[in-house]
Amino acid sequence: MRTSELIGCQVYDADGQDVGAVHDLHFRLRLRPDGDRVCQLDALECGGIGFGHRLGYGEHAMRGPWPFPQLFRYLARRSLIVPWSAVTSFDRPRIDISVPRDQLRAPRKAGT
Amino acid sequence: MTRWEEDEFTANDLLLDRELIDCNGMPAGRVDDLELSDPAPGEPPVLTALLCGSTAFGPRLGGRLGTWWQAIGRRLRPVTDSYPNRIDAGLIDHVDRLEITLLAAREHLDSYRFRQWTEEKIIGRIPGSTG
Amino acid sequence: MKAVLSMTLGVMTAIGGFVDIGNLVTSGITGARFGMTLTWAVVVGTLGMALFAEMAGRVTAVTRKPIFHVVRERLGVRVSLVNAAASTLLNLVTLAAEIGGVSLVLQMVTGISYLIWVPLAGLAAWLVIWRMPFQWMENVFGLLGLGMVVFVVALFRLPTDWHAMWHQVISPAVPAGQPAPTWWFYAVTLIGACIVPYQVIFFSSGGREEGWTSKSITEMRVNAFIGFPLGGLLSLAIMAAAVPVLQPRSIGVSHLGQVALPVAAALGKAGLVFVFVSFFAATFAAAAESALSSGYAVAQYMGWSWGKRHPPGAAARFHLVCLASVIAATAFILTTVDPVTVTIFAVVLGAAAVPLTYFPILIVANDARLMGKRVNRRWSNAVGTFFLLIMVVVSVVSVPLLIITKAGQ
Repeated sequence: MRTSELIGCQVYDADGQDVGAVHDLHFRLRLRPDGDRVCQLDALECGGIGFGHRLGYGEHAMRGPWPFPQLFRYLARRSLIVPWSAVTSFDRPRIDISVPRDQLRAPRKAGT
Repeated sequence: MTRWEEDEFTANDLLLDRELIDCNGMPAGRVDDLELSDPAPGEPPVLTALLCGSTAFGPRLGGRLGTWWQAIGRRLRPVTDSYPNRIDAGLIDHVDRLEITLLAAREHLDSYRFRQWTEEKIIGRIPGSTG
Repeated sequence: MKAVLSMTLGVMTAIGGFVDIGNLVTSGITGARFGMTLTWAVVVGTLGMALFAEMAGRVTAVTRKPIFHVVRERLGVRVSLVNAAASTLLNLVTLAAEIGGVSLVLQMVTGISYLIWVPLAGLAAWLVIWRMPFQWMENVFGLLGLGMVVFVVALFRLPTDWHAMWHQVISPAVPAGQPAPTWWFYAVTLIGACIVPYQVIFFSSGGREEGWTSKSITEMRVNAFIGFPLGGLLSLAIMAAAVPVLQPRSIGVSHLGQVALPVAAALGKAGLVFVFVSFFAATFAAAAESALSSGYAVAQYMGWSWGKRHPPGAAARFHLVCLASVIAATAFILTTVDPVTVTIFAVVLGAAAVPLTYFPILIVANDARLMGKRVNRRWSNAVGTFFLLIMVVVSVVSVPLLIITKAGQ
């Protein structure tokens, strides 16, 4: 499958609540038992204002111009991380997860 | 063995829309989309290839414009296979904040076909093109 | 010493490069009609262009990538597509205007109808893109364009009322008998003639062709902050020269020849030679540059090889885009649409699109991860945001004014 199939999907939690739309994918490098290093899909980043993230305001490196960092960082706080292990079904444009929404955390880089 | 600048990163940050540089330092296109293995129970998807070209770009764009772009791309392809140009993950040499370098020369990549076609059929026929 | 020479050359080519058909036409029209009351618009446009170009140049020098690369990587597919598409479209209209401009200059010199010259101008512009080395192109035409300084000389030979002119500059007001919306409309055109998207694309991509790095930033800034304002002064000289000669007799400028009239009146045939050569150089170079900018925009966005530093066969799709642009623009001008009208439309649309083209650069210049210690300081952000706001206002009023005044009547 492709990332373009994942990005844009609406995620719904265990109670059927809307978590948000996928706007980014988190990868982690993992060492496989056969010695191969692969890039594994760890989590989906959803909700928030994707545009603000796309502009890079989710990270701390953006300096300005005022009032963009303040504005976008505030909006980016609503972004949530969905671990891939929580995904129960994937049927574009819908993704269902097993975890309730309030148990999801925000990306650790934003806001701190 | 691919060298990655960071252990954890996101698709938008380090991979998507990045420029590809081949083993000779020449530009080899852009990452338009990523191919992941199909999800299996207990086995999260992994990155298997980088995708480039209009058949990858179209779906990324989305909407009617994306479908239209993809259709045009299919017509212009020298082969009838509609799957986008694929660069296997094993061919990636190094990924950092500046660029993505590959182990292969761009002539050996699928995405070279469009470029080659333009070079041969159009530009190559105009006198003075070899500099 | 070599660095000083190189910098001087850079400034001089920047001056010649700044002035193109848009400046020639708008300065001539406004000088004849409104005197110097619209000087402030040229000042705003020139400062804006210097700011815009410096930021784009700095991003290019530090990241060692041309702006469309950086914009797509940071802003994603859709936003940067809108940016690239708008820029390419604008470049096409500007290219058509410049090819028209070259043909008008040749008509002035030879008396032969400009339509005959259009295909030749298109072909010549394309040949320059195809084969002439980059530095050559910049330097030769940039220096020849400096001949426009003859307008400054003419100002001293004409019965120029310096006092009245100065008064118009510092307390601008709509001159008696002229409709206010039209005055504002021409203010927009003057701003649009200074901040031209293709020039910023060319400034940045040209920087890559010349291999700019962080060390080149000082030289780049000199070009932007000294070269461009001097170019703005030249535009003002053209505007000022029109005042004693055209304004008293209410000669409306609709032909390029009328813009040159003041020099003919003051310096005779000798002066006209300078005008013809410099006008030709400025418009011809602008034609080549705007076609190249179309190629730059598309090729950089798509990730193709680009640039004149490769032999054409090695950047085939880039050259294809340049060739297609020249053909399209030439065909458009051959439909006998008035080149001066095309020029007015080009500058108005350019002014309207500035927020779209400037915003991504402002964002990228603020990314400390990309820019390191060259990231925007607070004051440059303050000035940049202020300028962006001005351009948003200009953008909003530009098309309504175009319609209300029927393109400046």
